[in-house]
Amino acid sequence: MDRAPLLAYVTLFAPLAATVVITLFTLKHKALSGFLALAGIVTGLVCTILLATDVFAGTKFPPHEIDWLSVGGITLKFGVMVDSLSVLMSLVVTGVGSCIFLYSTGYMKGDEGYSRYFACLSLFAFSMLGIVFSTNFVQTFIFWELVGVSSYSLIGFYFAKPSAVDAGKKAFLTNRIGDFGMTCGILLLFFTLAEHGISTSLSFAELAPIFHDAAKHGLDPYSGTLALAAFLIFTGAMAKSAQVPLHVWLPDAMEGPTPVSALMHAATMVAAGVYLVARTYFLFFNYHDALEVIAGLGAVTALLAACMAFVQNDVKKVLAYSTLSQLGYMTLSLGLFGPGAAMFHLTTHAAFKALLFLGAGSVIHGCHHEQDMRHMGGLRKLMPVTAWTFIIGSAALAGIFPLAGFWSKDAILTTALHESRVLFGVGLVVAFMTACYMGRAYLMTFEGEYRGHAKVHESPATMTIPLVVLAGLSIVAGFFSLPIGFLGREHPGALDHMIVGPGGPAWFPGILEDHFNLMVAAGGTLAAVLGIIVAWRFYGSRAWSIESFTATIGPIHRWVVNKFYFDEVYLWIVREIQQRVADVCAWFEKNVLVQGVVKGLSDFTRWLGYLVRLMLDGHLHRYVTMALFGIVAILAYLGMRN
Amino acid sequence: MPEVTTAHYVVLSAVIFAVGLFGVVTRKNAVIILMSLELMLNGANLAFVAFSRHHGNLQGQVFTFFVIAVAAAEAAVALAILIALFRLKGSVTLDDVTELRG
Repeated sequence: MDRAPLLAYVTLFAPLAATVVITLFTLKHKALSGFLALAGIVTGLVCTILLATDVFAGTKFPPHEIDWLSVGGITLKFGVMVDSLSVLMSLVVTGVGSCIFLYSTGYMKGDEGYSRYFACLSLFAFSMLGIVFSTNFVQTFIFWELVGVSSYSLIGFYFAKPSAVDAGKKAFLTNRIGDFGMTCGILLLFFTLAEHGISTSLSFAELAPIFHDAAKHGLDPYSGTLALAAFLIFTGAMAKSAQVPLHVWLPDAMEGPTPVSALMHAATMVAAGVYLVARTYFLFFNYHDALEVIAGLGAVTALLAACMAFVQNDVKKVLAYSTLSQLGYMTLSLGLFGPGAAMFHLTTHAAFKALLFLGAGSVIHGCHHEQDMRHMGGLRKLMPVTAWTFIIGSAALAGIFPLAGFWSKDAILTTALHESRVLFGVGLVVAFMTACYMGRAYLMTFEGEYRGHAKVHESPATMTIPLVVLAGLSIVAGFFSLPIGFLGREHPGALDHMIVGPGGPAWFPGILEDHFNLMVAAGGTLAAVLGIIVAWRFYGSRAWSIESFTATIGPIHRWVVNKFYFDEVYLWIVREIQQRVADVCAWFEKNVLVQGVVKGLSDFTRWLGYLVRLMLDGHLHRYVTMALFGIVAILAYLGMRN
Repeated sequence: MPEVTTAHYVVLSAVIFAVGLFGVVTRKNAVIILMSLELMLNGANLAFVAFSRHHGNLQGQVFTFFVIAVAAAEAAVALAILIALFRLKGSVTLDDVTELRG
């Protein structure tokens, strides 16, 4: 095997090895378990960096695949795809992952399930890297489900707490809806292609040229069936990346330990949907209707989630809704021919949102498991490292020059402006709101007077070092897009080159190549600064009263506080519709299937047995006689046949 | 004196077998039934030996030895059971032993 696939396989399987060893051998030795998990992910990070030096220098590697199983003429494959897109994503997963694993060794200290925690976390890293390096839809789907499982086990990590168990279930079930759509989409794609005489193992490298030259392969480039398949596959992404209306699980998922929220529900797992769409962009590119729906969903998610972030008092919930909103941003960009901008924002967002979550975790740790911002305040003096890194993270998220968020948000806004003025407006409004609610969160937590009772202390070094590292990343991650030689890459604003996989941007005409636009940058910055000023007027100087403001907008406020009644609507659907259907099914099963078919069969058998029993009365003679007649009958039958 | 052919042996063996079978079916005493069973086995043995000579090979005779060996073992086990049965019930009449009816 060549060096590149080997490195990718090591990256992929190192965390799995950690999971296996921890689960089988070191459950009792907590420190060792933590060390093993950390070693697994750092091994992955080192291998990925080695890969990155090759890939970003422009070396191309063919996907490495092995035949995994053959059924009825279809061969399913397993392998690794090493290209700039997967390596970028792997850098995010292992890089942010390493920080968070290190942080976890401090954060989870003294927890009963320390080893279990690291086993699950490593399993997650393995699953996520499986999606990242996947070469085909089947492999992606398998790891997609594995990610769901590890997410479930980590959200419900505190399984003695009913709310955590419920949140885990909710996340899993909501994701099932998307996964079902994705299954249907993959099957529809497979059979539609089979109908046109194209048999594939559904690998991306095979499919991309087919879709690029659709007409040559006898495919209708605008066929509704394929658009439907693309959209169904997107529903899988929609559930994982928590887009409206499947977003309801993400805020609840904050029941898990805070580093889990940082790693999975902010930086990596929820980005899997965006990554999937970017990876399979060839599928969506022809179907403008599907893309428009995607863009619309993204815009709605970004807007609604930003609204909801304003009314949360739990510091983690603010970040959760902010994550939703930013994922909406990425989806918006995907829908507007900007997979490059989306992946760019994904990368920078992973850095600063992980930083913010870890900062929140540090605050929660320091305040002895207090999560309510109303009981915080004034923490900047008590936890200086946490506070300063939190400022950097917030500013990066708000999009302040020259931090990471500025560049990536700008890339998305430029993309939006190019395609649709309305969605560009939505983007600006969301940028304003983002700055505003992050200002609120920061001011409530770190400024003013301390309103809690617990004795606050700064977190240990294992927790602050990752904060500082991530803060550094949040500052520099944006320079990826600048026209400077970085890792051997010299093309100005050439993110899309990295992103679109086989074929490069030549296959995707219309994708923007130059992302920087001074007017857009000025507009975005203005929106962010305005947001910060508004937040300061409300929560810093208290010049404006938040109470009178909420009274003015009355009903809107009520809608936002109740999260636009999504949960209520879903509950109603489950209670009134699903339950009714289930009742009918239950009746049918009880009265027709069980009473009729199952019971009828058993009654018949019993009756038959009763008849036979009559003959067996325990008298040996009769048995012998019966045997005799039986033999005679058989002989007679054989005799007659000859 | 007429020659004794294979057919004579086979008829004799059938007669012995039938007599044994009649005994098994009609008698109530377990000891008699056992004896009748031995008759049936020996009827079969006779047929084996007769055909063995008729075909000029030894397979049938080998079978006969097996049958005799198994019959000896069977008689030993069966008589042991009958003794145990007699100790339990004070009789070896099969009409008294119908515990295994369905």
